[in-house]
Amino acid sequence: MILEKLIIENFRQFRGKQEILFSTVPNRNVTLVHAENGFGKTALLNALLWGFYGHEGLTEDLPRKEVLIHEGTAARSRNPASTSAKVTILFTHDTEKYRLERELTLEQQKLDAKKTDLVLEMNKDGMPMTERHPRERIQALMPFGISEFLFFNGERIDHLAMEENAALITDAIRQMLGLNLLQAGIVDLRHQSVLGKLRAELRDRTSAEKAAKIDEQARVDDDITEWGKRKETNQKNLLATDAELATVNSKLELNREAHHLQLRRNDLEKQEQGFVERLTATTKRLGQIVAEDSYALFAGDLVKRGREIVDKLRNEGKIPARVLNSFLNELLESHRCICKRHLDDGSAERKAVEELMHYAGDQQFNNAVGALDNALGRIEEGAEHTRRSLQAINGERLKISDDLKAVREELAQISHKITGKDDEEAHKLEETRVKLSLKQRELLAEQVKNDLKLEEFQKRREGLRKEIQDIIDSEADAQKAQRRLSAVEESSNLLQRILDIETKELRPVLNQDIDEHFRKIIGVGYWAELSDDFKLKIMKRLDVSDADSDAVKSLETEVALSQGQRQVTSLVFIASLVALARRRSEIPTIIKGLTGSEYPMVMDSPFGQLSQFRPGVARWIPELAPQVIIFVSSSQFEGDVATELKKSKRIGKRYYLAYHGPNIQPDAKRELEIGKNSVTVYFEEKDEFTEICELET
Amino acid sequence: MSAEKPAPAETKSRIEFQKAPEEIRELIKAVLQEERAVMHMKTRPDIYKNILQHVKRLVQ
Repeated sequence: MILEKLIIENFRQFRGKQEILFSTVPNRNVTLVHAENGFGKTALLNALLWGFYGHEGLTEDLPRKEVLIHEGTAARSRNPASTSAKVTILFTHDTEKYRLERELTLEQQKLDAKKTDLVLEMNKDGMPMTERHPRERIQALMPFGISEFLFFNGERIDHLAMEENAALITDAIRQMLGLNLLQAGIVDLRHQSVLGKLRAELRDRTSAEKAAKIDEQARVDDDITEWGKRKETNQKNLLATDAELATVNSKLELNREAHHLQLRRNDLEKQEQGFVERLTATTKRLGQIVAEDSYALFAGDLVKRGREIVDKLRNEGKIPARVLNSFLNELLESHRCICKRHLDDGSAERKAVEELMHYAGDQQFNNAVGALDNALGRIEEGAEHTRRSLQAINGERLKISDDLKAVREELAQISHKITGKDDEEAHKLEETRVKLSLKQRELLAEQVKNDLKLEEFQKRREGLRKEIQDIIDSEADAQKAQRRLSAVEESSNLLQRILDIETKELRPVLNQDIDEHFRKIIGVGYWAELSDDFKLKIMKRLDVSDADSDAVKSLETEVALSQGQRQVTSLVFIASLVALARRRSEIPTIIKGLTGSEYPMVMDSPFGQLSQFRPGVARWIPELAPQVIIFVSSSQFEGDVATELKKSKRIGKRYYLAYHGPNIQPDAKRELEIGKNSVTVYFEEKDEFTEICELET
Repeated sequence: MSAEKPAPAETKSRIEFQKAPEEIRELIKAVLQEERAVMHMKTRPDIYKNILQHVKRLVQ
């Protein structure tokens, strides 16, 4: 969304009809509105918010929200039905042009100022088309949830950089980058009115047995959803506990009394992890050998019996067969022996050859005897090899178990030692650590339980799917219903995979952007990190000297930010997000609307608490956001901000607010020097109103 | 002479999407289009009916 023009009429202190044209030129994307305190900056910000979102959009710091019509105009009105406050906003979004108009009559203001008239027109092929659902359309273009990231009072945004607002940040990311649409699509497909209905259709067309399985499938799906939620909650708790534990560990490292013990503990915990991994691998290997090769150990008696039988047959001369029955048959059929004698029927010679048939065997029998001999030999050898392998691996497993036990004992001793220290802080930190470790263990156990349950249900679901598939009857309707059901399930699974991929890919990109921009603005020493669960952290490196060895160790620790630093962090986050949304809008995706988009940043007094960071913000924010609109007082503008903005040559449009009224705030100036212009911004008079005046850029 | 703008690289999610059968791709597009139009409405009784119609139209 790029704002083109704002027209305000009798809104708060703006009397009559006035307008601001915003700069839309990409490399001159800054519109500046100079205004002294009390002259109408906040009212101007609220005019935009009221235009888009009505009463719900008005900022918390706007006093008397129910009085929106210029008070002088309202007091003089003779016809409350034709006196009104009106805001018109012209903007473009994804190349489409819009015109929005919101109006509140004096008559309505007296009844209920929250009820307003809203018209939204979209220009299609040169023809204005009125939207049937303007409110919903605006929400689709720029959801209310992201408005506080785009239209804000710069002095009140520092809360975004606070840990407890991670959910707000996650939601803003998902909304601004279009991921909420994917999530909503998944929910739609899995809804009872879609998936449930298709299942009901399938059940109606199939046998009782299949109907029961389909019912069970629905119950298993519910179980999977339920356990999925449990898993998600558990993971969040686990992440939070891990973070708390890491903080306590860092503090213990910094504590003089506990420093060495904590470092030793860190080392031991790494060893412990290594031993646990090796123990798991060794036990697995042991199980594998038992499952695959241990039969040889228990086959001793069978092998012995086999040997006895073979030896007996061999002693009796039955194996291997010394003469083949196929050879004797050939002689008998040809009636001639290899010694050239005739083997006539009934002759003594023929009888002698026939006698040999009792001892004869065939070639296959000979081969089988050879294979049996060979197999018995291999089983005997295998048994010995398996015995040796099992002994060796079990020995290794016992050794690792002993090492692990020793490490765990030392870890327990470290905990006791720190608890026993006189140092109050170390004592308390260790107590907290013990509590957190126990909690972490409980949560990990819970995680394993959740995973097993989910795996069990997923296996059952897959099993049911196969069972249902197996008993699908030949009725065409049933097959069609099954295909539809499968298509819906497959579609929702694919959407889930795409959502996971998008979320996974976007976080590191955003993280890198935030860090890069943060370093540019804040300078050396600190860096920004967006954690896996989208918590915004500012980190620094701390050199800690070792009291014994004089060695210096470098630790990474989270910075406790001042209000100004939090404000910069929040600004950098918003600008990075807006920049990423713009970049993302240029990437092809599976459907229009799934991408991000261009969004403006409209900032009221953004330089208030920034002190030394003002130049960085003035220089870099306009480089990141496609459009920047700044309402600024002379005290915040003059000096670094003015210099940086002038240097950047990004100012495309420039206005100032001139105030007419009986008196002004003590810190407000009557005359302003803006560039080469000297303008009068205060006119003393009885009636109170503000004028919007354009300056040449 | 002006340099041609390089074509944007395929994203992993698009590759994953392209691997699916056409029927599934069309269904997903239809669902997202329906959802996009109403995703910020408080009540939207028709969306499930419309999605079902898409399923029946696309999967025969």
